[in-house]
Amino acid sequence: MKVTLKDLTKRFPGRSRKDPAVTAVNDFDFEIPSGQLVGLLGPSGCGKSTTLLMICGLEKPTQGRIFFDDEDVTDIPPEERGVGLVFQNYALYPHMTVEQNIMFPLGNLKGEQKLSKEEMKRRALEAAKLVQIDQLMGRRPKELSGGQQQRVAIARALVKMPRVLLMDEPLSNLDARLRLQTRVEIRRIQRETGITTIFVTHDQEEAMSISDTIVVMKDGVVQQIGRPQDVYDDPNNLFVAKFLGTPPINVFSGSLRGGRLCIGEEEVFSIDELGADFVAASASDSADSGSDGVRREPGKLAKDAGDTDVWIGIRPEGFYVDEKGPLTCTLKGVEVMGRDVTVLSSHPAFDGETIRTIVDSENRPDTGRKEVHFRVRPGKIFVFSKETGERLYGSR
Amino acid sequence: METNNKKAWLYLLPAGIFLAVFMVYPLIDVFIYSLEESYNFASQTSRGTGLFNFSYILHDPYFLQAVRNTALCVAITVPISTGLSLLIAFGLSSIKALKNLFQTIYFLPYVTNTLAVGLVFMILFKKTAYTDGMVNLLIHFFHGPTVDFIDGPYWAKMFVLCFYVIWIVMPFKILILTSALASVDVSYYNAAKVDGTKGWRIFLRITLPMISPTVFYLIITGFIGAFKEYSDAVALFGTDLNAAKMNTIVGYIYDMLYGDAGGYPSYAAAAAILLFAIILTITVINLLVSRKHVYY
Repeated sequence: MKVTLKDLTKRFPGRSRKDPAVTAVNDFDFEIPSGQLVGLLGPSGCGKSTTLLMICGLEKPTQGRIFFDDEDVTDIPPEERGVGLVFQNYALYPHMTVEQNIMFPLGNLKGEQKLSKEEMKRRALEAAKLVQIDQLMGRRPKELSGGQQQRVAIARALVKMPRVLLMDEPLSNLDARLRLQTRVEIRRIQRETGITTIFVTHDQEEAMSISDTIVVMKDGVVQQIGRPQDVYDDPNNLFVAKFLGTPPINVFSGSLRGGRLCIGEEEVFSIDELGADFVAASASDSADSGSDGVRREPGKLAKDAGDTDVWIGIRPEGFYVDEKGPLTCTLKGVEVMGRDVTVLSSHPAFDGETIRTIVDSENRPDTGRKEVHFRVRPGKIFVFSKETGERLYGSR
Repeated sequence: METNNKKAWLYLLPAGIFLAVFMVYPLIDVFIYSLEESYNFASQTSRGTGLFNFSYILHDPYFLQAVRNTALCVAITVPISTGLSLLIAFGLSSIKALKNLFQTIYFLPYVTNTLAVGLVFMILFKKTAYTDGMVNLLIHFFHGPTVDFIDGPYWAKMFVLCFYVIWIVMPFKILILTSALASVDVSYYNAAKVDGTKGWRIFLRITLPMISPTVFYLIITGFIGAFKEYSDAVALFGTDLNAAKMNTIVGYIYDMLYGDAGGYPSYAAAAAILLFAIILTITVINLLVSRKHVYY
């Protein structure tokens, strides 16, 4: 089932004159291809849950339309949309057994769709087997672990064979170990059923690891849509660059002067060092990530470009230690991770406390010294406007 | 550990003494009175021990009348008041506009004095030389015959009593049920909605089980309260309830102690013990039934 959102907007009215209306979702325009696992990603309050509830039908959009394939479902109530929703707190009925919980949606079917008790039990067992809880059918939700409850909730959402499966923060109530396990599980279940699945999360790692497509949102506005790796490698703006990746991207205050890139007062990179493909952002944009409405003129970093203050973001894995490297930082320490080494350092122009860089253990700096010199790998450095946060340049 | 224990007992002592003097001792005393034949307060003597008092009151037509009245009152008022309260509380939790206003209106009887309410009911129901009462005017409007609710036939008086009791116990039940309904997580309703559950099924399969502990609490306290029915009957029919044939068990106990025919603490004690036994039995039955239908 292909899901299309057209100019979707949701405004919540303000409670008083002083309290203005809140635009939770602003002009959401996106097509979710059939059978994909899509992650809506963003910090809390960015409108991702509201978007999910609008797709589900529990919230009515203020503006815009929602299509399942070619059918306009905007004005159709949730029960007729054929959606399954997994709630953040699972919303399992505590007074029913696992089996009764899973069977509950089937019991609502009326008329021709009405199922016999045996058929309902069979379908419930089928759904339970899919999420591997078929041996727990007689238990009450209270007697299950968080992970098991989660599976019951998924089974209950799947039992009616929905056209679209929606999950609101599916992993947030689980502990760290279960979270890893369950996200693999969600991926497997989605693959096995082939149901178009949309889930909401504020955890970028979660979204990156299992999604086919991620949608990064902030303040109700879509920042970027794309495959996880593409969004990571080619962020539209500083927010997206900062939001994705652990450890996070290192951001320096810098400037563009006469075609040279400066961090702080030092001129650290020339265009030649950065490579020939270090170009303005939109030149490297794929067709659908250009749909965010921001237009940038393609072009190389010109030597005669005017001086501008910029943010310079460098991914932690974009550094390597080199005596002759142009970036000089004060060494604070080294954390050995096994295969890799995390180098902790500081720089006056750095936006934050500690620069975290990941280098090969053979490439580790001499810990006896006070300074460390870095070179930067092409493709791991991005330049963002200081005014708008939009990306100006980056290599691809 | 030892000293801690002593300290704990010391702290419990004040409450313990009060409970012992005003609760435990009287309870035991009542039990003893009920077994002593013709106990006399003044001389502190009795003619012997045995089950004579129980035998007497079980043959006393006034007591049997009181038991019948009380049982009828319980059987009618507890289900109706609980059911109606549930309906009203559900309605209150479903509306948004004027919710607070209605909540206040429904709670008003709770803070109104029993006797004041009794006066209002008099105006509504009592037939005097000058007027037949408001309710009779209503009956006349539908071309019905005049009914004397206060001094008339038994069923009319029982109707007024039950009406009165239901009206006076509902506010508290509505209050408790409204808060219970509000505490049901909205995501259960959303989940049911997404699954296409119809309103009635949501109520029976989700809402009711979710608030079942509260409903159960109200049923148990409702039973106990209705069994102890007395003051409402006095407010409606005056103090001579035996003459009105509207006496209750508690009323009978009072009459035996202090009424015009009073001065029989032994009979009063026996009646009290019987009332206690009835309430205990009903509560145990309630608890047994609740095991199957209440989800904590």
